[in-house]
Amino acid sequence: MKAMYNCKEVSQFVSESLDRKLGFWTRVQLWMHLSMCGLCTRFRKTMIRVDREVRQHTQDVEQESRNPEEALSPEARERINRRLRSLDQ
Amino acid sequence: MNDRSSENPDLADPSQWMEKHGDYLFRFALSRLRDPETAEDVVQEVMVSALKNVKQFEGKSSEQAWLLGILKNKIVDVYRRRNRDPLNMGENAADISERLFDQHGSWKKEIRAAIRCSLDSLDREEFWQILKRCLGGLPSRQADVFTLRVVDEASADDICKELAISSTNYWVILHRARLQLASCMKQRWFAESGK
Repeated sequence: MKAMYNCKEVSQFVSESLDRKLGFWTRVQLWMHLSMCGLCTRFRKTMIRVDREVRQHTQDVEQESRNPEEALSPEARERINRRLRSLDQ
Repeated sequence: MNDRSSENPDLADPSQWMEKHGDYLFRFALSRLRDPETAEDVVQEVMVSALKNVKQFEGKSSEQAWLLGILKNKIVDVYRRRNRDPLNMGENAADISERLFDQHGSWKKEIRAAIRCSLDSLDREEFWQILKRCLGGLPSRQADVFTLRVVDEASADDICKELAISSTNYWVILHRARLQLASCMKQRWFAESGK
């Protein structure tokens, strides 16, 4: 078994664990490191939350379940309308 | 769902498209592409292409869902186009992990206080406001790979194919994006809350 992972390696495996299941020994070592390292534990929590919040935000936009922050600028709206009218003729 | 077209489900009415769906399509495009100008251009492309193909609209789905389908394809086109541009690759940027870890792979002393800082007290809106700025700071390709993976849950194979990157490179890009986003969140919040 390889020596303990360092924090840099741990961050890499935490990232990877968000995409695919890690091997058994990797998980064991990751857990061992995290149980002793407060910094990596806090960092892991933030990594997980970033993924979740980005996903949640785009879903809200798609389903219109969040108060709209952004809108087309009047200029862009006018430009597109003009373009559509020119095609219509 | 916002489905006003149900009043007349069989007919698409192009003169109403901008009024009814313009902002929605723009917001959707912006959430995937992040740049307002690009998002505006894509909305225009969608409208033009929808107008040219209006006969294909069969009223099976709502007008909005139909336009959204066109938009999703256009967004992938943008990802493809802009990620072929070497300027967007950000490969020359200093490796983020060198800014965070020392030569032994431990957290650098000067950033430990920020990394230790908890974000638990932030509600979703506050978290998102900071995250939005952090996403804006990512090299475009990193952000695009991250979005495709996390938001669209595209498979690694598909992403590599669409953006013409190797599988090794894909994992590196994704990890750097996450490392950068999480550390940016920590550092920004630490700077703000420490005042």
